[in-house]
Amino acid sequence: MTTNQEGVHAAVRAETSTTGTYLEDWHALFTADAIAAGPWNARMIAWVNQTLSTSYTSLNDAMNAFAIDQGFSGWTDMNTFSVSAWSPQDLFTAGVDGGWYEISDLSTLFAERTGGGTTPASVDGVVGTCRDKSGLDRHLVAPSDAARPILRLSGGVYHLEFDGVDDTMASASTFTMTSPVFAGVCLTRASAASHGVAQFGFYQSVNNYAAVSANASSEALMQARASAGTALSLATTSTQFANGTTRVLLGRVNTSDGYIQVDSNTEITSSYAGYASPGTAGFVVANRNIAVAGKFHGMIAVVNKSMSADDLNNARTWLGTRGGLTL
Amino acid sequence: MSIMHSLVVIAPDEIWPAVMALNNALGYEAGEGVPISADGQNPITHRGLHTWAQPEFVALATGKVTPEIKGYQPEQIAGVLALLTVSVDAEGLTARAHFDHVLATMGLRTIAFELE
Repeated sequence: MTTNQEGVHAAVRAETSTTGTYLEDWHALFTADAIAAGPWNARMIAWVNQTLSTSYTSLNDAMNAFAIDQGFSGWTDMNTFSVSAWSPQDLFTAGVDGGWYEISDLSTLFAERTGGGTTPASVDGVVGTCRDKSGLDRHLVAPSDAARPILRLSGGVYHLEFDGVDDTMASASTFTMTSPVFAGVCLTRASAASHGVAQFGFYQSVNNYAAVSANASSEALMQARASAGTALSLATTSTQFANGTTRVLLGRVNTSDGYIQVDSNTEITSSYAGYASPGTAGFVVANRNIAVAGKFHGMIAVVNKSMSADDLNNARTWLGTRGGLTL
Repeated sequence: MSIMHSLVVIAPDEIWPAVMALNNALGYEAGEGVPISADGQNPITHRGLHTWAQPEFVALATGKVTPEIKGYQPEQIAGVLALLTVSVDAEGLTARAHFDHVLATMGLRTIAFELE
């Protein structure tokens, strides 16, 4: 007869395809889910919190909560479980437009700017195309060869390094920006000047529309604009985005309000009137008019979807992991 | 893979189309270039770019190798190259610092586009 622990062990192995001891296989699962290295107890708490979007500090409380979430009365009664790691793909349900860009997935990066790319990008080489993983083919492309960023690997984290002179990437301006629109990015600021980081998210060819950005004062910004290009709102955060720091910026623009959030800090919400969809738009990384010196780790941009609290938490955690952050 | 070099190219605005055409003929799209002037205000007097370049491209940009380009005479190519300011790798400066360093030596500044 299989004991409950043996059943759980089998469930762990089903997730990891490993064949170690009970603890070894759990550690493999933690690692696969980007839980920071450490003692098993601490990793288990972190893993449960990540999986359930909770904040337990007690091992027993965390394990029991997980078991209850799996339909058991407690951990000792649990003889199996099933978890599927959250993926940005989960956001792209029917009717949702957007893009998903993951620099740590080298299979999406190519040196060429045209034809979707044929030569895989290599570390310390230029990147002309960053393919969209959403399946919607909103690929990011550099507008010229001089505009191509370079792929770097630093501290075990991949990123695109934008030179602060003329590097930028954008998707084709081909979709209607039906609100709400959401953009989340993970990036490292690489200059204290205004070109440290600016305008990641959405653009429209005339209005230079931006969902999230930051300025020389290290404030993160959310902008919403009327169709004529007039800025309706400019919400700023007190959480500084200083030079050299890696941050996750989440921004949303709706028809009457929007917010900006840095990492897990309190979001800043701003209300406004007069919003009009800027019409056909695309995504931009770095900027089309102001050069950006920054390290870009990934972006999720979603159009025509109300992001739930779980969606936001999952997106934040996923983006942070791309930049080596635990959020 | 070859080492990529930090390459800055500055040219008078009036010859930028020729710079773009030559680069296009070599299969490299230089783009519109960053607008530049002496005081950082319009009108544009120069344009520039920063790129990461392989040694072969650096040799072309610095005039050490004259490429054969269909439709161009060697002296035409040399004439354009003579009007360029080209800088390669600036002692560990970051890309933007390298670009600004070259501009400073020429008494030039980028024309900023400010966010509203």
